Amino acid sequence: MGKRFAILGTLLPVSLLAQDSLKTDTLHRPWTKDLPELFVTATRTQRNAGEIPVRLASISQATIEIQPVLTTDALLDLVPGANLDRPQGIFSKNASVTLRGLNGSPRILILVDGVPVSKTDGGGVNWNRFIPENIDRIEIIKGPVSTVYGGNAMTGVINMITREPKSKMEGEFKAFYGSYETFGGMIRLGGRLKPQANSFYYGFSGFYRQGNGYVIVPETTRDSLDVRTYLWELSLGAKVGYRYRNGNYTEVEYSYYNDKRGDGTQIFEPEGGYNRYPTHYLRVTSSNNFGRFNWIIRVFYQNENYLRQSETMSAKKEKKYTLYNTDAYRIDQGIWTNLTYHARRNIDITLGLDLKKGTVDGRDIYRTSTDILGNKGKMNFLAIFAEYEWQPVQKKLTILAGLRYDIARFFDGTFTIDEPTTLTQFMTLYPTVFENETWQAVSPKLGLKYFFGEHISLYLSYSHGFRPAMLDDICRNGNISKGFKLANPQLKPENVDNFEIGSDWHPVPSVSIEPSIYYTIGNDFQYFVGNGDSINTGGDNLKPVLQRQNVSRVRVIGGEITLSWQIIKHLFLTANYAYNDSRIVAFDTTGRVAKDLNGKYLMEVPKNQVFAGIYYNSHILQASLVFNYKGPQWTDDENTQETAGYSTFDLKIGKTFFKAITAALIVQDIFDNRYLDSKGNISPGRFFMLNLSYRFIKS
Amino acid sequence: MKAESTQILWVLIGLISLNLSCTKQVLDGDPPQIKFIRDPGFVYHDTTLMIGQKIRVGLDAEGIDKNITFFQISLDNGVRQILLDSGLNTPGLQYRLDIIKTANPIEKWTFLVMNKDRKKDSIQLTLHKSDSSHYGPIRSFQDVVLGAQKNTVTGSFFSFTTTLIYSLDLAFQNQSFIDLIYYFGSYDATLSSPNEADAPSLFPGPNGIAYWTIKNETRYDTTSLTPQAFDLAENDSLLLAVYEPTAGKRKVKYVTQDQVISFKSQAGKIGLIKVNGLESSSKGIVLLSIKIQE
Repeated sequence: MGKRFAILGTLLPVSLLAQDSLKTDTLHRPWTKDLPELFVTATRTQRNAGEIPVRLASISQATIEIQPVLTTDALLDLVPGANLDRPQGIFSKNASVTLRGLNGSPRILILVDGVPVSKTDGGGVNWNRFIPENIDRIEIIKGPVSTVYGGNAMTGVINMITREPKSKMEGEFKAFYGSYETFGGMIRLGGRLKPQANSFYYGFSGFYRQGNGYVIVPETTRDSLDVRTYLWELSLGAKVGYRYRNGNYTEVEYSYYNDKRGDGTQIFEPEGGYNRYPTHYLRVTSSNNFGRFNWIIRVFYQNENYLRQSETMSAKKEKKYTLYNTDAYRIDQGIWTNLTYHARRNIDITLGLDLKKGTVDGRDIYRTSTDILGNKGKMNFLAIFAEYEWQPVQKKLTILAGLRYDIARFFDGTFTIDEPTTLTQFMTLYPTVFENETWQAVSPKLGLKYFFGEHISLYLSYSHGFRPAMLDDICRNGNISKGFKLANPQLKPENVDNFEIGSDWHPVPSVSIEPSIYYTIGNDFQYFVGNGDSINTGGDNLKPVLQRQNVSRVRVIGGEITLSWQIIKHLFLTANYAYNDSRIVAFDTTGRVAKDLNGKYLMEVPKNQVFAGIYYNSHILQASLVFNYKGPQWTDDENTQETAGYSTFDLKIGKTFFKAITAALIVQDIFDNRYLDSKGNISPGRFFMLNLSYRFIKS
Repeated sequence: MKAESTQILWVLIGLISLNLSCTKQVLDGDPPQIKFIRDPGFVYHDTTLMIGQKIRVGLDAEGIDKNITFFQISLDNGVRQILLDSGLNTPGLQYRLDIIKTANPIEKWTFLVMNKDRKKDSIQLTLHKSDSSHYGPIRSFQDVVLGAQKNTVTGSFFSFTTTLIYSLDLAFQNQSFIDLIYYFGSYDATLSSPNEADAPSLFPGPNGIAYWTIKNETRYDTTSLTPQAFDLAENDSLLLAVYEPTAGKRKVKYVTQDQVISFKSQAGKIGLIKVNGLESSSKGIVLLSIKIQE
């Protein structure tokens, strides 16, 4: 016993391998409807997935392993209505994932093991730091989930659940080499003192990748300053926990991530422009059952140090050279806890209390002038929620109702300018200390699901969602492409109300069809508007002074359908289609200088998306071929520029030797169909990656 | 026991790996150095000058440990003004500057360099106005008529040296003399010079400004002077009084009648332009009076 305590005191986590993944014949349904029996994300406690009246999706470990992907976010292509934007593949400084016709990463909440990793500062997450091999499964809830999760859970929640070792000792070593001189390796090691429950478990993971990239600017517009992008990235993690016989567990996880990705510009500095996101992440989770109660507490801390080097030369005659570094700390920390009471008569009541604090402390440090710009701000969140789940007719009807109250306070907001030159002198005209602000949000939800028989069910739901304003918009002034952005500490949250109906239908045991349609109204959506001023920012022309304000009302009419078919024992097919008509239906220009965007489509939202994948998985061969189509997307709010639609085919073929060694080839964009992103940059085109891995397991 | 020891070893290896990955960047090294060039013809120490007197200052800077990434010239004549903010990335820098003494009693010129680590060095030069200063003579040109870019009758180009008006083709043959250009464009009536960015697009063709090999630059600044004040100027005292070394732009936009504009020519001559009248179109004309230092 003394030894166990000693180990607990010394160790920290990780995610690791489950021996199931070694048994390739356990891959039954490699698609998003591969729902685990228990689904933890929808209500923050374990629930039978089939009974929850929302549209759920789950990507299992087996699915993750057979998909032809190189990053975790790419797995979400499997989910109808998910719009993944990673135009430069692994060389993208980040990816953006959005859901159901609303653009912008802050409108979706990303969790890891139930704790939020979406940042208060920018609202997004750094997808690069999540390694597919570390993930046990991904649970996705579509539609607003603010009743349970509060801010950002506006179009849905994605919860990545990391691996937990299941055997006494297990591990995997992987090496890979691919296009653009990309290579690296991955290691996972872990185990548990006893293979069954009531045992201490632990694990480590490490991942390294580097590559020389490519020139992202099309040849027709390329100049001598455009160079190849590059990347190196390192991820380390550790996880330790103790799981009791009665289902209680306590787990601690720590991870560290560091990277450097060239932005494809190099003028004088050897490394040119680049972005880095060194991140420390710590999570402690404890789940305790006593009687009919289950109490879960999650404590989390995430510290991202965003480092950027920007090197630019203006296209104007003066060829003004600018070099600066951004050094910003974005810290999110909090305690989330919920207590569930499993009452008699099929009633579950969950009460929750969430505390979270988000801070930003950033500086733009100019090297080609003396200026240093600083912005700071903090936001505290406090929320309580209650959820009531009732099955008046067991296995026939489920009713889920919930209500949440959030209160948030912005404080300590400042914007500073040290040693201003002509570059920033004009900014001193504007406020540098911001008033504290408080706002509140109430998020109700009501859903019901009815089983007409064993093979068909129908759900109806109404839910409300919101997302808080980003600290970056609240306490940071600065130049943007359209003009000069003025901080707006009075910026309020955006809200959506979603009405939805959907069905799960199994016409035959090997086929499932999952259609949903939804109508979403969004209020107080934020857009840049002018205040009537213009300012000389040092260029030839005056620039408009802009501020993000709550000025518009949007609506989305959308639908999606997934078809899954197990053709024969080892052959599976999944396909999905999503349609979103997302428009601005009101735009308040009263007292503002702005183009009326009423009637315009939301930018960066494809109206039509199609995904199809066919999978073969046996002891002899593992193979997958997937097809992705994204329709045209507007790249500006005014709907004057549109990117063309594009499609890609990706392939993965793998073979296992001696039950332990696997060789796999991934080919992305087989037909080298290079497309342009919204900034006019090109995708990497056909990309090969050869993996060689060795796995072991000791029971 | 052996298995547990192995597991603990893995844990320790993992923790050591995490620790190794955390490193701090330490900024170290010497600051850059800047000094005056002390060659003949250069001024490198504080001095007293007559109003309008021109001197040449030379600067020599070295980055030492890191490249120089910023060079700034500022002037304090009672009010601190930044004359030049320049981003660069170079191990060394040599710079020459011609300074014309204005009517201010004291001018403190500061020259600053900074390297990539933001370490700085600066030097100063103080110029005093001589008590025995006297104002210099000027030349005056009345009723200079210039046509806008589509005016086929009157030329758009003027020389302060020859005092002649040139068409585009003639100006092409006399590039070194052209100081002033008039056109009517995006900013309505505009005065510029061959080295201004928009002028080439308004005067295209085989002799267009884009193909000139010599492009003089005149710097303009608007003033609040009245036409009467302009008319009364008989020496360069008024010209120097309104001249702001830091304010000059390559063009002056939205020129209007009775406006008085200060300028400095490529040759370093300071002057004033009075707008007597104009026809607002790309085929129109502008009527100017000009006074410039001899």
